[in-house]
Formats: sequence, C-alpha cells, structure tokens
Amino acid sequence: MVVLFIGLQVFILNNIQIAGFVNPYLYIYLILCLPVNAPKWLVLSLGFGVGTAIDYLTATPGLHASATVFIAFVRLILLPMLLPLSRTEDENWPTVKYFGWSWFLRYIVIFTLLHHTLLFMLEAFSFKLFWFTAIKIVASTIFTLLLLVFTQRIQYSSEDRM
Amino acid sequence: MWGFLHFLQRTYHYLLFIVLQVTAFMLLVSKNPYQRAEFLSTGVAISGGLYSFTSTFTQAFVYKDANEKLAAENVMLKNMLAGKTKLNLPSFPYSDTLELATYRYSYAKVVNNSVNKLGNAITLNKGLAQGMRVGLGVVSSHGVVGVIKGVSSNYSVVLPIINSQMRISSKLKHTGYFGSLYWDGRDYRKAHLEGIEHYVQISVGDTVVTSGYGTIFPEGMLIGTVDKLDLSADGAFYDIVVNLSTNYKKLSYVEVISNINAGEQAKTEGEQTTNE
Repeated sequence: MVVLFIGLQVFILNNIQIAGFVNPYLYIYLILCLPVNAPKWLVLSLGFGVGTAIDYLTATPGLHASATVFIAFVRLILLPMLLPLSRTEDENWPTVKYFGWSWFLRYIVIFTLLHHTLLFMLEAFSFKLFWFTAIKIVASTIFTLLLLVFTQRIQYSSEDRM
Repeated sequence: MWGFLHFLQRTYHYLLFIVLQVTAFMLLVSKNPYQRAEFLSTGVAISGGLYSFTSTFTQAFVYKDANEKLAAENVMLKNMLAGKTKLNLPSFPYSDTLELATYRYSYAKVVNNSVNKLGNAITLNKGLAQGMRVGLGVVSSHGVVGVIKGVSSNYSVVLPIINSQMRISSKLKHTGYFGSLYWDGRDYRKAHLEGIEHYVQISVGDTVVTSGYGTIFPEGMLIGTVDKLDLSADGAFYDIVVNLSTNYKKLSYVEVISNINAGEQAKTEGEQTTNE
C-alpha cells in the first residue's frame, strides 16, 4: 500500500515540479499520513527514501532528503502530543476521517510550514535573499496546503462511498 | 547490558535521524554546485572574520610603539610651534611675553576612563615625577579633554568636561562672546554652554573654543560645535547644547599643557585682589 503510494506521489510530484516559481510539494503527504504507530525507523527511512527519490528526479541531491527526514523526525516527537487524548486504538491514521478537519488542518499547516521553511532555506543556503525566500516559503506552503486538503478530500469521499 | 539495549531501543531514532540528516546535508553541499559554493564561502567568511578579529589584537601590540612615538613627535612639534609664536619684526625692539613659548606640551597615555557616571574621571600614566601638576589642562588631537585634579608620583587624575563638577570658560569662535561650559550628567557627547546673552547671533554648527581666560588652556582650543539653541527661562541668556569634539570613549593618548607663566600670572592676579 505504502509502496504503491510512493510511486503515485512521485509521479504526480514530478509533474507539478515543472510548474515554476511556486512549487507545491505534495509528496510530504506520504510522511504525514503514515500510521500513528508506524515503527520509527520506517518513518525516518521513508522520509529519507522519498526525499532522495524526489532529489533524484529533480537533480538536487540531499535537498529534499534533508527537509523530509527533518519533518519525519519532528513528526515522531510531535504527533503523540498533537493527538487527542480520547484517541482509541482503531484511530491509527492521522486523517480527517478520525480526527476531523480542524485537527487535520492544524496538523498539516505545522508540518508543511516546517518542511517548506527548511527546504527553501537550504535551497537559498544563505540569508542574502531572505525576503524572497520568505515569500516563496509562504506562497508554496499555501499551494501545498490546498493540494493536501484536496487529496485528503478525494480520499475521504472515496472511502465514504465504499 | 539489557539496560543499554533498552535505552538504545528507545532512542535509536535520534541516532538514525542524525545519520540520515548528516548524509543528506553532505550530499547537499558536495553534489550541488551552488550550495557547495555558498558552504565554502561561509567557511571563508568565518575564518576571515576570525583573522581580522585576531589581527586587531596583534596590531594593537605592533602599533603600540608606533603610537607612542607619534605622540612624542606631536608634542615636540607643538612645542616648536609654541616657541615660534613671537612677532617677527626685527626692526622693532620689544621684550614681552609674546616672545616666549607660553605653553609647553607633553603627552600621556590614558590608562583608565569612565563616561557613564556623574563624576567621570580619567587616569593618566604620568605623575609628579614626569612633570604633571594639579591644574594643568589636558587635550587630545580632537579637542579639550579636561583638567588635572590629582597627582601621585606616577599617575594623575583628570576631571574631564563630562564631570558634573567641571566648568570651563569657553567662547563662540566667530563672535567672541564667552560663557561657561558645564555637563548635565547625561550624554557623554554633549555639554551645555551658558551665559551667552540672548542678542548674540548664534547658529547651529558654530564652533565653541576655549576662551583663553585663566591659565589652564591657551585661547582657541576646540571644544565642540553648537548642536541646539534654547533661551533660558528668563529669556536673558541662551542655553546652548554643544556637541563635544572629543570622543571620550576612544581616548588613548592625550597631551598635557603647562603654562610656563601661570605662576607669574596667578601671582599678579593674586596681588591685585589683595590690594583691592
């Protein structure tokens, strides 16, 4: 299931990458929507693996890998704190289906912002173009968030119908 | 052993994260030309900053002797200049104090200094043994500094303009009106000049110099420039804020001025007042 998702996301992402100035990075959906109880080594390795795959396809070795491993790591620490205390064992996926839209939005805003900040900072690799980088971070974050919501929406409604 | 393994099991993800992150970072700075260049130039900037930082120290040692030599040379030149101030009229025989070098300069190094108190003071590395006396004027290459108020055998203490007890007779250079300069205890860069009548034409930027009254400073030594003008409460006098030309935070070498005829002048003035 997860492996299938990687392939799908990478292909979608590879196409969106061409878009230009504002780059949405939907691939973080893969890391964000891993099961809550996924083994830590798997989350981290997957972050690194997905990042490296993107890097390979966009010829930027280490860039996406670094940013994605970072959010994978932060997710390990932060997710248990973010989850509602009333969570049951069945509610194992951090999705709208279990925790609702407001929780999901807060969750993706935090991690998208973290990921994009690190990504664009590493891409600029200096504070010379600080404001330009800041604008890129905010614009791309908004774009990515829209796509994440859209993706979740599709998944949600398709599951509903099932 | 099991404890350690258990610990490892609980925290291995930190290690794994660090390993993966370092790997990604290494890839980033080694395989991407732009990031590589930025990374290297950051390194150069850091080492460059470090070098200039250390060089300020080494230069301080290297130039210490040079500074001292220059200070000595300045004093020598000023003494020569002071000796030249006689009128050059060979056909007219005269004999008065204009012929003599009235002021003698010597230099000293500032070894202690304060700018943030009401009773600011400066310590010089010369004292009685080097010819320092209470009441000698102290100037820097930028302008008047203060007056010596205490001497030991090898050190002297100067009360600078920026001491609330200090008053210096000063005048406006281009009009010649004089007043008393004092410090209000706030900003070490600004002093106040009072006692200038309200009808005097003054503009911001006018030069304030020593009046030459008294025996401490020669006439016309730079004190500062007019920064702000206000009339005093009764409207009779100006309250003038003066930008001091001496930067008290940067003092290192100063010159001490002794008036050779001070004793004679004071004695004459003293006789006059006792006669009255």
